[in-house]
Amino acid sequence: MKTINSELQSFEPIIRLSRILPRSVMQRLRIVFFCVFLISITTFLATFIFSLALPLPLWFGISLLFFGLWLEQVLLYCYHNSFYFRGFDSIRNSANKIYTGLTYRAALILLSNKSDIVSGFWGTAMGKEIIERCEITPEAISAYLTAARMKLAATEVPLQSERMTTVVDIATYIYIYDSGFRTVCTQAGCDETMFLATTRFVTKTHEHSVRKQRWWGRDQLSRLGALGSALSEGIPYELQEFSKPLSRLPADTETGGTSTEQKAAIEKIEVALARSRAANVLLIGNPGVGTLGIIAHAAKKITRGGGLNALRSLHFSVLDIERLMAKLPEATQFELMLHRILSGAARAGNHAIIIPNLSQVLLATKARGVDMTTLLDSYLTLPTLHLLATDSPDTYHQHLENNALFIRRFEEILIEPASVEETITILEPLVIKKEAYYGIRFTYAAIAKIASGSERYLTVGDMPERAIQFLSEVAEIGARSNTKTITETYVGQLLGDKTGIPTGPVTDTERDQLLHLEDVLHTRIVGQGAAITALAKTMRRARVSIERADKPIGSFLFLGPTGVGKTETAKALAYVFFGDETALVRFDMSEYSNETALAHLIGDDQNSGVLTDAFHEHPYAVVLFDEFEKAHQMVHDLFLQILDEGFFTSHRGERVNVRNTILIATSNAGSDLIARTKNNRGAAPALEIEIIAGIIKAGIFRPELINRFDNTIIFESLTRPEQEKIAALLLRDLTARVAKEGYTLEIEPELISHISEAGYDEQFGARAMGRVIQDTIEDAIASRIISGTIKSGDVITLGLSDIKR
Amino acid sequence: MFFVSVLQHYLLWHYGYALVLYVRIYRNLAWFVTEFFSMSTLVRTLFSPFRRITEPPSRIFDIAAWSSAFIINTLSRILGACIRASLLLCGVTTLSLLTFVSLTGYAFWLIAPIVSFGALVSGGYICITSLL
Repeated sequence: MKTINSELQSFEPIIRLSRILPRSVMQRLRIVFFCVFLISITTFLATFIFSLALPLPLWFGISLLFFGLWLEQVLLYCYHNSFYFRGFDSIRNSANKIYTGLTYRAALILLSNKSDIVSGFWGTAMGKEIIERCEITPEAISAYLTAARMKLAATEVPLQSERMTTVVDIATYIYIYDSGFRTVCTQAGCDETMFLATTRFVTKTHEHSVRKQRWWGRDQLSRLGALGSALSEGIPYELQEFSKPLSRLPADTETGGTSTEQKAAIEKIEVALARSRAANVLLIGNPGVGTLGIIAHAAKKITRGGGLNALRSLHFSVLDIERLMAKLPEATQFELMLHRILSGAARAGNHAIIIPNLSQVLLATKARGVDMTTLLDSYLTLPTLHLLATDSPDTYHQHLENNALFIRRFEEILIEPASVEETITILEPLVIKKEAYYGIRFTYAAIAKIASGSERYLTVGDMPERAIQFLSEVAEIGARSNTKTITETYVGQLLGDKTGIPTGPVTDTERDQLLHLEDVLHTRIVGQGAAITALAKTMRRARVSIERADKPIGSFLFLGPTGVGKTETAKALAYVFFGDETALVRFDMSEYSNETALAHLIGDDQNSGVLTDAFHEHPYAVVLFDEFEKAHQMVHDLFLQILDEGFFTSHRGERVNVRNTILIATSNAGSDLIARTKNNRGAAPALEIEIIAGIIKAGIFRPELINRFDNTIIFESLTRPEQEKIAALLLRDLTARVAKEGYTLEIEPELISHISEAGYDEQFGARAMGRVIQDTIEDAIASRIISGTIKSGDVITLGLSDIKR
Repeated sequence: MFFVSVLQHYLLWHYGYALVLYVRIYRNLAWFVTEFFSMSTLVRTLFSPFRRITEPPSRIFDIAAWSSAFIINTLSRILGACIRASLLLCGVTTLSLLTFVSLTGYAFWLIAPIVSFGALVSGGYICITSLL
């Protein structure tokens, strides 16, 4: 029965020895001693045979001495190895054996400082790496270690009863029982999940590199393949000509690690391939979910002997259908060659042919007059040939699902997009590759941010592929900008630069802007205090990501009469949130009031939809739906899903992501009631309920639609002082434009009052104000400049009399 | 004192757990040799046609075609058997060699500490005496 004390005693000599004589030194010494032994024995033999004038006994003595030293080093190395690789026996072909006790790295931490394992943890290279990857600064940990605190002893660490006790177990123990250390972690933004995930990642990475050194393990030996099995198989010459090995997948299909879901899919593939008949697999998944990657993982596992033994000699090759079609343009020739490829592979045995995008291949060949389904069908039942195909759900439903006779030959495996947690697992091995390639280091929070940020903010492709691509971008940019450590903040900044959505921690400037968002909006919007406050609150929540991630960033229903600032508010929001006023897409929903509206928006058989295109072209924007009440009922129904789930499905079956947009629907429904607030601003909140009830009662919007908006914001009619403010605001713009031409514009207050009165209309609000300014003031200025009465640098003073004249 | 305890620990390991590990490594390597040469497959398919090259028999009765197919198929099987037997022989030889080396190694392992110590002491002694 192993106990922690017996394990520590067992490891103590070897770990103490390795402190005096590190493993790397041991390796070098062994080589040096062996070389000296070889030289001395050669010299001795040469002296003996050729009777050279060298002291024979001395060379014999040196040979013996270095042989002894070399042998001693070999024995010492073996001794060290047996502890160093402890726990690695349980990898393969020993499933029934239970290995317990400490791993070498766990013992190293515990024995670094037996009375204080936190200090020991920090004292080892692996512990240091874990702490650094957790974004905990060395200063913070040093300050904690030097402070008076409770210390955890190595002898108190519990041993696992059914498996090896690893660094992860020690890290868990430290995190649970050392509250001070826990505080240091939390202060650095690293919670328990993050700390343990980081430890698992670092441990796994180390194990991976250590495992490679253990060449005598079955897992490493089996990588060398088999020589004899090839002799019992035939050679499929035609397949060799028109296929490429699975290892030569396109560069963008980086496979990474395998998530639990992917492992389950790989096992399903193995089971399906092991069937005696119709051992074919069809992987259905959206582009980017990694269907080909899963096949590559399955192939690697099978050929390296990690899968079912019966499949070990299986050869995987990707059918190069493009080359086949290009080389054999005639249908008859093409069919004949395909027959020869398939029959050749079946005769050779143990071949798995991979056809990516099966539906597209079938359609392309059909266009050439080849019925590939019938052709393939006769081979799909053969026990000596396997077919692995991939397809997307949309094309599968459109072209394959109705061909039941053909489809029953396949085991269908549906691959769902990877979750954030699964994506992190997939990214981990790729991170190690990128780190080695670019000489950078990712903190674990940065990896997590890449996964979560890609899921939340990136729209092209599906998970995990978009996260894999974003990881490559981050690594590349990081290396170029000489950033040694890629942190969560850095990833957030890059994500913000890429999408225009601020996603990292709130900066000082931004904090100021967000806290005073109402004031910022009020520099452009006159009045509408309640509306602006409601908007600002929602946007602050969205910025710190405490809102649901599976919805648009914000969705608002702006109710109010025309010309009170609804569109201007949308523009201001685009400017504040996306940093660009042009990040605004506008739809006039009165154009979508008939029955063809839906087809127009989401597409039909001939055309793609305008809404689909808009979200593809502007995935990060404010989208304004003007006169929303005029849209057809079916369009309103479409918005039920958009507002609730943050996506909609186009006519082609494609999922369109709208989660990175702010959706604003405007309507002047209920304007009569809103007009009442003009002279009674305090009554607006009470009237809101009445206005919405009135809208529902009139059947303009259904209650479920109104409820799906984050906020219904009432824009009130403008009062006289507000109209004057708008006029002043517009004139301020004009003054700036005139100043650019070299003149100074001064406008008398009476004129401002006149413009605000002339430019406001009960029906159209302040919409006409711009035109009034143009017709009066701009005309007057133009006349003065053209007539030559003023010259550059002069002051243009305009009063009411100038306009009337 | 430390070196004494390490030496004691080492000797216990050398004549205890290390012997178990030695057998385990030998078993791994023997497994690898049989897998690498696919010995079970070679035995199972010893008389199968070479690279599955066969001449399918004619569907109509044609003595010349039948004879031709028979001869080709027989030759293919003979060739396959020869090549497989050669490879099988290579595998068996490698396995025997591995077993022999392992057994010798096992025996050497038992005396290795003494050999190492002896070589060090005697080598050192010879060097000193010849220098003096």
